[in-house]
Parts: sequence; structure tokens; C-alpha cells
Amino acid sequence: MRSKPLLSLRDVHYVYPNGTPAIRGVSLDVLPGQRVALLGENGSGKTTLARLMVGLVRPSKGSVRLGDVDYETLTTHDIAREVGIVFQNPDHQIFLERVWDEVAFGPRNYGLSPAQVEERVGTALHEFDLWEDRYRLPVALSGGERKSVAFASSFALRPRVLLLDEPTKGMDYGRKRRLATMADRLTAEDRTVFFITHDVDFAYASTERAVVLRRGRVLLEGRTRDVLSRSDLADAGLHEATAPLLLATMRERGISPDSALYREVQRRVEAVS
Amino acid sequence: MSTALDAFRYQEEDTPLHHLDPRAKLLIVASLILFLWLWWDLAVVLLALVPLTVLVLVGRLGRPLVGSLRLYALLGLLLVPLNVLLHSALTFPPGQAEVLMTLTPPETPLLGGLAITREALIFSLLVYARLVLMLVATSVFFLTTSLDDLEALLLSLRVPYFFVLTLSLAFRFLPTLGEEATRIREAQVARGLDLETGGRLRRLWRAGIPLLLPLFVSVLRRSVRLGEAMEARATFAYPTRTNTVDLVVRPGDVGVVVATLAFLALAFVFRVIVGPA
Repeated sequence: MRSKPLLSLRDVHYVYPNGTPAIRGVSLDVLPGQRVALLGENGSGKTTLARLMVGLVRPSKGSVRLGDVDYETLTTHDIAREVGIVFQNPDHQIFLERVWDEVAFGPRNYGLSPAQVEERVGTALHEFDLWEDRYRLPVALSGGERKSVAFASSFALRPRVLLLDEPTKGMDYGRKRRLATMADRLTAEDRTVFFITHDVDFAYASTERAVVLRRGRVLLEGRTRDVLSRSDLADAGLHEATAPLLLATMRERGISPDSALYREVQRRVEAVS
Repeated sequence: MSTALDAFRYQEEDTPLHHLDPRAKLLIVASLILFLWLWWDLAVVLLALVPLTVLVLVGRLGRPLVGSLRLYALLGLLLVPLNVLLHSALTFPPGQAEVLMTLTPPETPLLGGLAITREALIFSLLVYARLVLMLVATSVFFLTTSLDDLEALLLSLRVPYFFVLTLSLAFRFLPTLGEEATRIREAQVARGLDLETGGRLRRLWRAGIPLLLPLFVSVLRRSVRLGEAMEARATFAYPTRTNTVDLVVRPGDVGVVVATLAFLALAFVFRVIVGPA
């Protein structure tokens, strides 16, 4: 049976105050427990769609619903409790003097008890390997570490939908894997994680559903493995994921999928994706 | 939505005022401000209104100036009552001026005998009108002078390139700073910072540190990166450099300068003959 959507977007349009259309009729159901990749070229509307989903901007036309409730009846503050976002630049949110306080900022905003805050912050810090840094000054951390602080800070809010804008940009492989593990943990709790990204290989390895935007419209949508293996991805300014491309090339060159070589390559590329 | 800042931000238009040599524009605006600053009466205010209205009409500046009306209204609300009280007590006290309203009876300790006098009211309104006209004149200059022209103007006035570049960078990064502030606000709201409920002061208080500190850090990081990028492109490496805009005097510019000087001369003569209002 199909689960009830956490978020539903129906024919959503968004026009900037200067009259430029950014989103042109997007309809989308966000189901619980999914890892979704939101892809597209620069200026395709990915970040604007994310801002609409978090309620930071409201649709010029169409509707966004959180469960059965229309966003029109909710404040951004109400929505942020259920739908979180981490923007590209961690410096846009870091302002406290200890990593611990920075991660505790969100839970404290919602008036959680000290014990709840402690539990959530501790879990988030361990999840992102920041426990040892908990008393350090966040602005003095490296770029990747500051990004992890931003993730931990939203993770601690436990939103039902979490959107991560360009989460892998400037991150080493280890941190990318931790990010994927965090997404697994959230989806196991029936929460949904959106990766807004240009990193096709990360999306291929770490998500099961992909939505590709082009000029404010949904161009492709479906299973990530199907969407990111399509040769017409170039129309959306993207390249095919490396793993399926490599395997398809081997098949074209007559190497059977049953052969030991093919299986060896498949195992290795999927392990490092 | 137009804001008070729009009245000081360059608006691209194809008008004679926009094409005028920035040195001529500076002369006009500086003369008007000097004129308003030197004398304190109604005749001066009325005289200054004539060229200002012409400039606003020629430069098609009505719309951006309307955005600044709120700023001027706020300025008036702050300055006029304060000025009236001060001048009624010190410059034009009751006994030397006509009392319009008594505020405290004479027997009140410390603040006894406070009143509003007619002369103080007129004087304060004139001070306010002069200030607004000076600001409008400054607006006219900034609304019609592009950053490239402003840089060329300062360089032609022998201002060191280092200061010109610093000033121009500050202006160029204002919109970026605005965008950055919006992003920071959104990032904090997404973490549950409530900026929607409660009164304006309460929201401002809540927003203060979470917005200002990241903005400050972000600006510092950006400055360091920009400085490095500029050094990597040989900024200040050589004493001589070429410029995008080199100012050339055209006949129209000369005409405007002559007209401005003539207006000033006439105004001075008028002011001396007619005397204070």
C-alpha cells in the first residue's frame, strides 16, 4: 500500500519579485522514509523549490501541504519544526561560541527540556564525528567541519523532511559516507532526506528516488538507478552516473554481466560511489 | 518595494542628467548644499527648491525619491519636536518670543515654565526643511552617477586609488550583503528561530545576534578572499594603471557649470539685497 505523503506540492509556481519565473507548475509527493536526490543544472530552480518546501517563500500559484494541512495556515516557524533545511554555506548559520551550543540552538528554540536537548545534541555530535570538538569555537573549524556542524544542527531538530542543499560540496569521502549513514538512520525512522546536488555519483549511490529539474519544471522523476542511467541527462546539464556508464560500456564491448571481470568491476565501483 | 536606500542607489536611465560629467554634477550638488548651509531662512529654502525640482524632473527621479519619503518623515518626527523644545527654551524663550503653548507651569521644579514659542517652531521647521533638501540634493547625485563615473570623479580629484577602490568595493558589495543577510535569516528561521510572532521590537531583539554575527563573520571571510584574489591579479602592484572611464569635458557640461555658477551668483546677490526672511 502506498504511504500517505509527508509533503504534497500541487501545480506549484513561483515568480521572483522582479517578475522572473523560477518554478513553473511542479507537482510532487514526498513519501516517508525515502532518500531523494533533487538534481538539475544551475538556475533550474532546485534551491527555490527547497525554499518553497520549507515555507521560506510561498507559492505564487498552486499549493503545498504538510500532511493534510495547507501551508497557508502555517507560519514558517511551524513548518521548520517538520521540514528542515541546511543551506550550502554553513557560515550563514553559525554564530555561537561552542559547537555544542550551535547544535543545541534549534532544539532550544522549540522549548525542549534540558534532558531532551542533551540527548539530541549528543546523538547529533556523535553521528557527525564532532563529539571531540564539542567545546571548540565553530567559526575556527575547517570548511568541512563547519558543514558537519550545520548538518548536526538540523539533524538535532529531527524534522520529518530534511533538505540538504549541496551537502557534498567541499567534503571529503569520509564525511560524504557519514552523511549517507545519517540519511539511512533518518529514513529508518520514516523520515525523508532530500539531497539537492550536482553530485550525480553521490546521488546514484545514496538515494533511491531522483527528481531532475529543468527551467523550473520536473524533467525526469523516478528510481535513481533508472533516472541517472539515462543518456538524455545532458539535456538537464548533468552527466550519467559513472558506475552505470562504465558497466554499460563494458556490456557494449561484449563483456558479459555474468563474467567474473564484470562482477568484480561492478562490486568495486559501487563500493566507492 | 522601494526603500529609503533606493534614494541613494544608482538608477540606470537615459537622461541628460545621467550623461552629465560627474564633476559638473558634484559642483551643482555641492553648490546647493553650500547655499542651504550658509543661510537659515525661508527665501533660501524656496530658492533651492527651484533648481532641485528641475534636476528631479530632468533626471526622472520622482519614483526613487518617493521611496525616501518615509525616511524623511521619520527624521522629522525625531528632529522637529526636539528642536522646538530646545529652541523654545534656549534660543527663543518666552518673553523674547510669542508663546503658542505652555507645557509646564512656572512653579514646576527644574522644568518650570517650559513652552513652545512661535519663532522656535518656525526656526525648527526651517532647519528640518534645509536638512531634507540637502539630502535630496545628495540623492540626485547618487541616483544619477554610476559607480564607474564616481570612481573616475574621485580619481580626477586626485583621491588616492586605494581609497577610491575601497569606497567603490563597499558600494558594489552592498547588494551582496543584502542577499547574504536574507540567506542568514532563512537559515536561522529554518532552525526554529521565531521571527514571525511578537512585536517588532521583540523580533528585532530575537534576531540580533543570530543574524549579525554570521553576517560579520561572512563579511570578514569574504574580505580576506577578495583581498587575496585581488593581490593574485596584481592590484596595487604598479604605480601606473589605466581606467575604464576617462572623463572628457563636453560643451553641455561647460554650459551646466556656467549656469550653476550664474544661479549661485544670482542667489547670493538676491540674498544680500533682500536680506533674511
